Amino acid sequence: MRFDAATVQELAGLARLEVAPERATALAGELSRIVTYVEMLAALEGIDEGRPGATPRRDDVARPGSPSLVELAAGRDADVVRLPRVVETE
Amino acid sequence: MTPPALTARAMAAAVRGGADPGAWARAAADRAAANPWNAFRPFHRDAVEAQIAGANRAGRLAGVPVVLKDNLADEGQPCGCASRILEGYVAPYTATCVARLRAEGAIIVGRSNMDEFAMGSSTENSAHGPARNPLDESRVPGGSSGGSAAAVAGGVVPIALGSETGGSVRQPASFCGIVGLKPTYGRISRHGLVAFASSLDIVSPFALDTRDAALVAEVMAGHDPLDSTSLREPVGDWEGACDGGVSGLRVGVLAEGEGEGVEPGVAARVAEAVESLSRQGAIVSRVSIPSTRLALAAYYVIAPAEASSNLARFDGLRYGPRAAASTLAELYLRGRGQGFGPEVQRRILLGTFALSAGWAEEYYVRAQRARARITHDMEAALREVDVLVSPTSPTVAFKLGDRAMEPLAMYLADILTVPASLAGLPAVSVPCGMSEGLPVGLQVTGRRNDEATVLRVATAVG
Repeated sequence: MRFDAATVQELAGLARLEVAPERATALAGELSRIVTYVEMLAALEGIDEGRPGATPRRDDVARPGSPSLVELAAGRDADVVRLPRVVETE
Repeated sequence: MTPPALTARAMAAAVRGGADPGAWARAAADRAAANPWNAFRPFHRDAVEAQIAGANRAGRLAGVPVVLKDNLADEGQPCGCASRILEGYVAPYTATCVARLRAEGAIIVGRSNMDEFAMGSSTENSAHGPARNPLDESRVPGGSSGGSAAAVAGGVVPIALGSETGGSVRQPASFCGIVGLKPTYGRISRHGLVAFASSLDIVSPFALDTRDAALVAEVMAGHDPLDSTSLREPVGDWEGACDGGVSGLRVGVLAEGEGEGVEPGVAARVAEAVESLSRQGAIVSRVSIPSTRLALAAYYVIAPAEASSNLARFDGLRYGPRAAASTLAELYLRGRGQGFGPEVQRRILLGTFALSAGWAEEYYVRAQRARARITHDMEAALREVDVLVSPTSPTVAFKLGDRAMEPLAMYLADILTVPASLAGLPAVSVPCGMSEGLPVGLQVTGRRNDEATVLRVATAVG
């Protein structure tokens, strides 16, 4: 897989990252080299079985939330978090 | 460099015997505040006196000063992950592992520099400048937990916490001549560890010797309901296991750890360590696991894929530099573009690609199948032998800047540590001598939940 600056900008849009044009060109080269390396995976006969013991699960039961997280907000109104306005209305 | 004076066990024994529980903590906090080797991050010093006053003087870690990597939450302290996007963030709660250390009398005295969001192998990806290796300041301490490794190797503290995703404790332990222990995935709670790649992340300690590493890991390990992947298996006596010796143990020398890229001096020290294990009664054989050659490729799909999801939560609204923007979409783009450094952006883009429509099958799904194969093959090999040994890193600590320009060259520093990470197996790096005046680390990898045997072998090397 070869990346060009346009592909990088497309990915950057999906990832919500602003990437400067000159940086996109450099990233295209870096990502191409990494992905070319990764393509050695095609040589391996992989298997589908799960990884034993790797993902124990807890019961999916609701717990009370942590009020201290809401207290972090710059501004709040009861349990509602206030943020600075980002889009000015006309 | 100041040689480390005392182990954590010696300090705790002295405090339990009546010594001042604050003496070592105050001295360590002063040294951390001076930021030698750029190994440290801001820390509210007031917290030290409060901890000393309330310390458990009878605990297993009574009065032991500890440094935390800057991605571990400690209530009231900054937790910036060496990233601009988290500037100003103060943790509102404490990580389970940190609370467990404190309950045994440990005193947190500082926070350490790291690769931004734990992405790197040299601590050069910090937004606050690179950390340096206390043994040779022209060289990197390794990464991503390089600041914590420097704190222990430089004699500031006997214990520091790092985090592992693909080798971020074992590799810097190797570069700095200390012990780094990565337990089985799920052994130590991730609650309070800022997520990078959740299926791989685990909190891991640095220590001066294997007994200290075992003690600290044992204190932190055990089930935590706040981490859904936390293991329920009993932990056992890891510190005691260190004294078991290696007589009759089957040690497999990993053939894939002898290959291209391993420096001759590193290979020689590892061969001598294996010879020493053999003289002590271990049954040594050579083991080949060909699929591990593909571990780094699988890792650099899976870890970035998980990172691109985990880091989606950082929107640049509350913390970090606030970008000027006229729409919400523009605010996210600019805030994340300015807040994340180059390596983090590279991995987010790589992960976004690996998960994107049309490519996920070829990259992400294939990498997961490779991960299952590697895990299967390593577990099969570990039915024939009790542990696998290899160099921790193909090289000794490299010069600052040597690999910073080429991401793939930097990634290759992890080639021998990622197999155990993908398989979730316990592994330790223990010093096994010097090459060109710099330390070499031997990696010992064991069966799932069998940290005890890994520690027995590593202790016999040290």
